[in-house]
Amino acid sequence: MELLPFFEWAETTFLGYIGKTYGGVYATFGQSLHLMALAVLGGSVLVADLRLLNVIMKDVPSEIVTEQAHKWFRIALVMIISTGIFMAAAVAQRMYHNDFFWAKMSALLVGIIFVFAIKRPLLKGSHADLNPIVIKMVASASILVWFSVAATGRWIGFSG
Amino acid sequence: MTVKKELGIQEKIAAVAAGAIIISALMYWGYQFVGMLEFLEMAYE
Amino acid sequence: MINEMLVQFAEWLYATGGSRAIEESFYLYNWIETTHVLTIMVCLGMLAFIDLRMLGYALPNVSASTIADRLNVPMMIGFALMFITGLLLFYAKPTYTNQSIWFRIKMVLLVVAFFNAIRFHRHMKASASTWCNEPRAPFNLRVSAALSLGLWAGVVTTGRLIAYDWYHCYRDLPGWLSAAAGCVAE
Repeated sequence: MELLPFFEWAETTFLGYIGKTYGGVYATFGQSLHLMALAVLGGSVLVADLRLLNVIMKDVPSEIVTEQAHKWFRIALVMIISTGIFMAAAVAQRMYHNDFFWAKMSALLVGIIFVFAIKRPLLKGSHADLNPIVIKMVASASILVWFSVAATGRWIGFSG
Repeated sequence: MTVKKELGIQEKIAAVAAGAIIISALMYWGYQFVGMLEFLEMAYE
Repeated sequence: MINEMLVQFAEWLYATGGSRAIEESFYLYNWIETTHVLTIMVCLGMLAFIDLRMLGYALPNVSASTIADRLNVPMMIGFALMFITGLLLFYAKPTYTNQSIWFRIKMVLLVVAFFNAIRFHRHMKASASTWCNEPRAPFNLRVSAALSLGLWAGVVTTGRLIAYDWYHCYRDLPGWLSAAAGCVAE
């Protein structure tokens, strides 16, 4: 499947035009909001996963912590993807040729599938019924995948 | 705390997926860092 | 006067070997910056959850003082990393950064955020036992929490804008902006 035409088209859309033409809008509504969403996303990932790893809030039931963190994870994810689409649209053809962009998209896809298809269903019930090693593996994988999404994102800007 | 001996199917899937993610992430960043070391060596030659 | 001294200091810093080494190393500089950005997830992530708890939007069924107390440690670890990498970033580009109006606004916002945090902690310590199981903190603490979120949003925004030189000294700037950005006569 040839994706380049899609990236060429993205730059011609209204969103791509705004981001390309107005540097100030791109930097504040694109980049800065993206980073604020990153704070909330990172917070919700770490609060939940460090709790599952028994590092923080050991005196608060992990079911409550993960449930609440997930609520904010969803909000942050919507915000971070929307601002991400806005940013990518403005420089879409450059993104198409950027290795870190594709690494980030792959990690993002894996992260979303992992959270919604595996982690959430697993943690729905009582955590005491689950094998503690599996819980810790899931928490470590979640931290790793989201930090990888963020780090590869920063490296898009450093490479070409 | 008693640890169950048998893993449920959901736990097995989660363990495999989490393991695959952990290994891939470590391999990816390991590969990136090795690339950087080679680059640094070249810069000093 | 103060701008001249800052320029001299920045130029002295720029001439040091370490500063040149970091800026000229592609990987070192970029990894320091990546760490600085990724610690947003740790430091501001924890901060956001503490503030959202005070406002009643996150974990309303868990004691507010428990949240503030337990998340404080990872938040401070994140902050320490952020602070060290931030210093290194300034050290690598002292002359550019010193004359960035965004960097200067960011520093002011950081100082205000610091005093806001002190005020928040003092009020929190004094009264937490009476309300910490309520879903929302009392009004004056909610003000501090909202202010904290707003100030840090400003810090993130101005921090990101340091990369842009729209208002740098070599541009044609109005006098007040030129002075605020720390420009000095050549």
